[in-house]
This record gives sequence, structure tokens and C-alpha cells, in this order.
Amino acid sequence: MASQPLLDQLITALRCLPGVGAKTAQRMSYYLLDRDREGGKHLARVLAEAMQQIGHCSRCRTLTEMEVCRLCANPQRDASLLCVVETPADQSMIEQAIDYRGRYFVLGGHLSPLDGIGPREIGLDLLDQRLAEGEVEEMILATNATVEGEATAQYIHDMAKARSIKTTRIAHGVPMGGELEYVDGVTLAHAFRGRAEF
Amino acid sequence: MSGKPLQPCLVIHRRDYRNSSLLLELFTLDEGRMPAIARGAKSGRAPRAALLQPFTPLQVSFSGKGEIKTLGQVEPEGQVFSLNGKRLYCGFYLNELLMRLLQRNDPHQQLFAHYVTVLSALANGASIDECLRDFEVKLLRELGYALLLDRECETHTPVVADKLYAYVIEQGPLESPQHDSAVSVDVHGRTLLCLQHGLAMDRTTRLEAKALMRRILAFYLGDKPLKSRELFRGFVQPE
Repeated sequence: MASQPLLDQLITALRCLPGVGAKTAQRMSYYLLDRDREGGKHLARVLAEAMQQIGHCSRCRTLTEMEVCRLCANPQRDASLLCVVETPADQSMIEQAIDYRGRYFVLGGHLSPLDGIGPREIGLDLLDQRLAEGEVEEMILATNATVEGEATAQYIHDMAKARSIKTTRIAHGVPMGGELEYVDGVTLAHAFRGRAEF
Repeated sequence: MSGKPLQPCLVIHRRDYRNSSLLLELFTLDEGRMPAIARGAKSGRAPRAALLQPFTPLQVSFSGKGEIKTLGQVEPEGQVFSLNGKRLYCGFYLNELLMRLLQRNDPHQQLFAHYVTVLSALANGASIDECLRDFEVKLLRELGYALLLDRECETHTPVVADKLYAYVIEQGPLESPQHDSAVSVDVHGRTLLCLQHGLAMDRTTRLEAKALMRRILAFYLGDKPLKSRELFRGFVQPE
């Protein structure tokens, strides 16, 4: 059996990216081959290295090629504050948007029993070890505002409570620039319950 | 927009699909458990992702002919069942039971009503154990595995509250004193009657009922254990 032409293999391979269908994959392939071979070679090199070397930080579980990620290794960071997020993307979002000086813990998902994801699968045993070290004084729960995110926050809150560590949860509600008229009822109800003194 | 009829439903489970869509598993009044795609649910000016969550009563319409329907209109139907703490885990437990035991596209209107009732009871602070046991019994009844709880299975005499029975799975309570814990569970008549009539339970009855229902459900669920039970273990102390 003749093997698939290389061009077809490239197009098929590119389709593993999220949001990339047959058409886009084809366009990407032609672009790299016709216009930007150097860029393509560079991409291939970096991609291969990244897939080989990037793993999870042994402290916070974020993606890094080192044993301990840069954030965890940085002594300037306040070790008494720990922000728990679902994904590395959430972590980088907070890093960019807020002047947060504490540390992170990246779960890599949320509790979702129906997908077979329990406490162990999102590294809560590691988080519990971390709490046991006694450095953390406040834990900021920045999981998503979904039912699963809420359950995850609740579970971690109970863990922290058992060790008498203070937990806080990020506020949910009306987005900045949002008009009440267009906010859905669920969000509005949450915003109302979580109102803060003015 | 087409005028497709709306029907009551609740989301049992959701997961991300493509960039901004959601793949949902719904429990609807008229069609039972069914999958659906909510296209672009997480984007746009008024994202529907906030509504399309478990424990939120909805009215929805569908289109499409395949197994996986496309979600059309989505309207909230009353208040969200706000489950906190352990009650939220109970909600996941109920959803996992439905996911594992219900066949797709098999309507169970009565069960839908029971599901709404139990969520509302949990949200309103009713006893967790009694809510769950009552739903488990009703779930099995609706699925056609109705449990024999008020009569002895061989002699058909009414169950007596103070007597000890050996409950044989798929048969019922047996009065004879033979004990083979591999096929039966020891249980008092009182517990059986509480389960049958959905009565309030004391501590002993609660524990017995829990052990009994766990064994019976395990029989129907097969080898794979329920994942949501893990949430109750460990850090969370039982009530």
C-alpha cells in the first residue's frame, strides 16, 4: 500500500488543533510551504521540543519544562497567598490582568464525577500536602463560575477548613460595562446575593 | 425563529465542544435523557452558558433529525435549585445515577417529576438521606426494577417493623434466619416500610437504608463504581 503523500499527512496532522478544520488546515499547509518555510521549520523544531520537554511543575502543577516553575521558584512571591485556578490559561490571565503577588495552584480541570474526574485527578492530594506545609495563610479560589467550578471550590474550602486556613472566593456577577437589562437572571441573582457594602 | 414547542428540561451534564459550543446531556420531560448541542452558547452578547447548567429548570426547543439535536430557544423556568456544600455533591450523585441507569430517548415523565421534587427538597434543606433514598426507590420503580418492600417475598405476609429480614436482591425480604451476606443484606422491617412509604427515618434506619440501597444499586450499576461518592469521602465529614 502506497503511503499517504506528505502534503496530505501535513494537512491531516494540522487538524488536531482545536478549531482547525479541513479547509483551514489546507490553507495553513500551503502558506507554510509556499511562503514561510523558515517559519514552518522553526515551528516544527519548537513543537517537537515542547512536546518532549514540557511537563508539570511539582509544586503548582502548571506547565513548565523545569522541575519547579518560575513563579514557584521566585522568592519575591508571597508564599502565604495561594490562588487556585482551573487551567494554566486562567493563571496567565490573572498574571496579566492583576497585580497579584502570591503563588498559584493549577488544578488542570474541575471536579466532574460524570467525566470520571474526582479529587485525585485534579491533584487535590498534592494541594493538601501543600496546605500541610503550613506556609499558606489565605487561599483564593478562582475556579470558574460553573456548577462544577463551584463544587470544586466547595471541596477545597472543606480541605482548607480542616486545616484552619482562610479561604476566599472571587466575586461573580455583572460584568464591567454590563447593563442589568441584558444580564441573565442566574448571574443577576448571584450578584445580588453577593452584594458588598458600598 | 421557528415556533417549535418548548419543553421542560434540566441539564444533567455539559462539556465544552469546539470553540464556544457546549455538548449537553439533558433530561427532558417528553423525551427522557437525550444529548444536544448548544451552538455558540459561550459567545455573543447574551451567552447562554450561564443558563445551561445543572440544577437549572429550563424550557427548551430542539431542531435536527440525528441522535444529537441542536438546541434552539432556551428559557429559564423559575428559580435555580441552589444546592450548597454537601447538597451540591448529592446533586452530582443524582445526575450520575440518571446518566448511568437511564437509556437515551426513553421518556420517563413521572421520574422527571420525582427528579424536580428531590432537587427542590434538597435545595430547601430537607434531610439529605431521606431525599436520596426516596429518589433511589422511585428511580428503580420507574425503570421497571420496582423493589418489594412491604411483603415477605416467599409467604407474601406483610412486613413487620420489629422483625429482622434478609433482603435478597431482585427478590425481596426473606424472613428465614439463614444468613448469606453474599446475596442478601440484613435489614429491619421498619427500614423497609420507611423506604416503601417515604417516611422519616431515625439514625439506625438511615444507616440500614443506605447500606441496603447501595447494595441494590451496585447490582444494577455493574462493576464501575459511582465517581460522585468520592466527593463524600475524605475531607467532608458525614452528617
